Amino acid sequence: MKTKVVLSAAIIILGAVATVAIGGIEESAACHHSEGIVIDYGSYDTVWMGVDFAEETDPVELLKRACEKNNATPTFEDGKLIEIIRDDDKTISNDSDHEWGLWYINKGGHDFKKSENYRINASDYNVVSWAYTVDGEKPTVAVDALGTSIYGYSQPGSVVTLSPLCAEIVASMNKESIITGREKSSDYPESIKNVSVVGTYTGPSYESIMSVKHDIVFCDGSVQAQREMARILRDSNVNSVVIYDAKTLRDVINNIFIVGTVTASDDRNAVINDINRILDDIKDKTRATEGYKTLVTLGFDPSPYVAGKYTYIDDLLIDANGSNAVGSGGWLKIAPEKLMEINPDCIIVIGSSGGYKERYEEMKGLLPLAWKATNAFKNDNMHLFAGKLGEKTQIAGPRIAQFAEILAKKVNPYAFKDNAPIPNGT
Amino acid sequence: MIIHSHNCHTDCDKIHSYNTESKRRLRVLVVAGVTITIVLALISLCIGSKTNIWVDDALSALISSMNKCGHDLTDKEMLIYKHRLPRAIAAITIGIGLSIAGAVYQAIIKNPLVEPYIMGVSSGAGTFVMAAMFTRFTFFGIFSVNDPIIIVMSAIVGGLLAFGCTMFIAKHAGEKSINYVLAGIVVGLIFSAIQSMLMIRTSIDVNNAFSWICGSFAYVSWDKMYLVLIPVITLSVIPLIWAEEFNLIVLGDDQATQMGMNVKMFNKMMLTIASILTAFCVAFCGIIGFIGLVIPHISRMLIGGDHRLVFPVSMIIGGSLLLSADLMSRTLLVGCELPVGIITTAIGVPIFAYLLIKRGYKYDKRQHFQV
Repeated sequence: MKTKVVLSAAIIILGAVATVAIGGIEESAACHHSEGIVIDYGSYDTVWMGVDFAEETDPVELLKRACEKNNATPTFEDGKLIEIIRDDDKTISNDSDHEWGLWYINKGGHDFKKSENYRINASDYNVVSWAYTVDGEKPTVAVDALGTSIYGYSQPGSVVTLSPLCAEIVASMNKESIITGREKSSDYPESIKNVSVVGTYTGPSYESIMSVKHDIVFCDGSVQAQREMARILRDSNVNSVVIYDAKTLRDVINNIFIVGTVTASDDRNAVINDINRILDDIKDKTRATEGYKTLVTLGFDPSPYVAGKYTYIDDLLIDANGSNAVGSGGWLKIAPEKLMEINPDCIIVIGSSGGYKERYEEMKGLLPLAWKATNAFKNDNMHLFAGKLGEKTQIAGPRIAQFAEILAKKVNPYAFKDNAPIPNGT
Repeated sequence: MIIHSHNCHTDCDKIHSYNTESKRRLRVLVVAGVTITIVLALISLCIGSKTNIWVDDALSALISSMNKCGHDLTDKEMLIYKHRLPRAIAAITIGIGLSIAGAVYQAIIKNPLVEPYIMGVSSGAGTFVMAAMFTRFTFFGIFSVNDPIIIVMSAIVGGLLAFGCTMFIAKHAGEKSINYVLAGIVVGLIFSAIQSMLMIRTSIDVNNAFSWICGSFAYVSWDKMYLVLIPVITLSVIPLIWAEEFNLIVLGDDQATQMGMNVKMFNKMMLTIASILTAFCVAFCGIIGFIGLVIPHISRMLIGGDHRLVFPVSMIIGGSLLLSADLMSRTLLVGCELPVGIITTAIGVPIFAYLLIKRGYKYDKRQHFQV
């Protein structure tokens, strides 16, 4: 028996040593690494210049080369960058709110840090960016959800999208013709319905992805399985880009920017500017009038899932000069008592595509007491977003601007002169 | 005396012929099992949801990719080397681990209806892994988010905690055979409730947790393989060394003590090893149920109750069964992956029900495990 004890202990120790030893020498999955520099003019207007770091790593020299290549002229004063005159003669200068700065993202990191001086070695970092920023804000997003630079990809001839959101964003860049593989439930735009299915939202299939042409694979960072798939694909030398879990409006726009940059789309800035224009228009129109205290729910449950703070829905409510009835953060389930306590003046119900529209009036009649006790119900200020509108809401992509408009008209109706009634259940 | 010695000779002959027969059966089963596993492994290299490759092409792609050490591979080599081969190895390894863990639980607890999933160990390990992943736990910043070491340690803590709870409840419920199953179900339900709470608190939707709850080999890669292959094989070998002691244990604690065993220490050691073994399996591929239940039973039906034979046969059958389940999970639906846990549940639940109905009354402590 003593022999067995010694043998067992020896095997366990050997196993542990072997595990640690092999773990120490294992290479992590290869990832895309781009050498170059970013010039960030602000408002998602960025320029990338790839450069071999064997030739140059001084960020000032790299900036000068990038400007020369793009017919721009940087101006330094006392060794500090103060302005860049662009090829369209637009001058981007330091002012009381904005300043040029040198920013970097560490290898393996996600967040930009501002360099105190310009004496850094660009090759030591994941991304280096000369950025024109407002005090307190960071430069435009430059890495995906797994911390890989979004710059330096060749223009793809084929992309695979692993979620409806990825497909929608690619399509908004006028690139739906290059989608060669899609996730099973992706059906927008209609033209991609005939594209090969490469898996489900939570179960992408490696073999199916590899069986189609795939210059870039877009993965959704809100799904753990897709983040894992991105790692597997990178290990197989397949370029994969992981968009962020779109919690806030900024995340939504960042994702559009990422896809537009990776696909080298000429429509990137136009799509983002369109969204921002619509959102700014909403803010302008609703500035003078206060909107309702609004609750946005998923379905008619007695204890519904609601959109709390730090969600893109919350951002849109604020933009419409309304207020979110829920004080807590994220998407959460609230009890009927809580619903009565917060007593919203307006309720927006986001329904799935089946059944709600036809049964709206019937369901209103069957609502639990907690719902019927709210001001929203008593004042007939409950609205159902179902069908295509429900989809616009649930997929936080380019169509969010359309959703924002309709939401604003419900949350702050008096601010819109052309407030034509929108039928419930649309 | 002559009669007595005649009887003694007859008994010895019977035992001798039984041992010879058992060894012959073991040899046959090992050879057949290894052959079937190799054939299944070859099939899994050749067949996929979208791309099927001839055997000779698959073998030559495998050999050339190994010669290239995994660099500069063609598409076919990539498919074989980076995807199908590690999946096949992982499926065999985890099949071995879960089967051995199940056989150990059944022998120590003397209940043939127990296994890591039913005992709640898999649920406990899976819940702690989910908690670590979705709360992005880094152990006070020492490790990175989703570092494999964090995942494994979480699984081990969760698995041991769940097992401890199951044993505590079963002990205080009377320590009868059925109490272990019921306690395991209770603990499993508790951890399911914790998983639901986690999903609500961290805003994970059910879809996101689904692939973890159901188990999958879809995301296996070589860079994580060391973390399951070496520990699982290492820990699976330990019960093999102590197989004779398992035979003593099933005779009863008193008998085993009289034979010179420290029964309590032995039980603790083996149950801990089985729980850690389960935790490694869960950490790597999620919760896969019923392998630990079904395989030891199949082994006993084929080879009898001698653990010197049951353990190696369980390893072989467990590896090949889980490999088949993985093959089905990626080929049953074209273009999509089914979680492998669904396949094993579909196989295991009817067998579990059959065992309960047909043999439930026989499951007193010793009857089922007679050598």
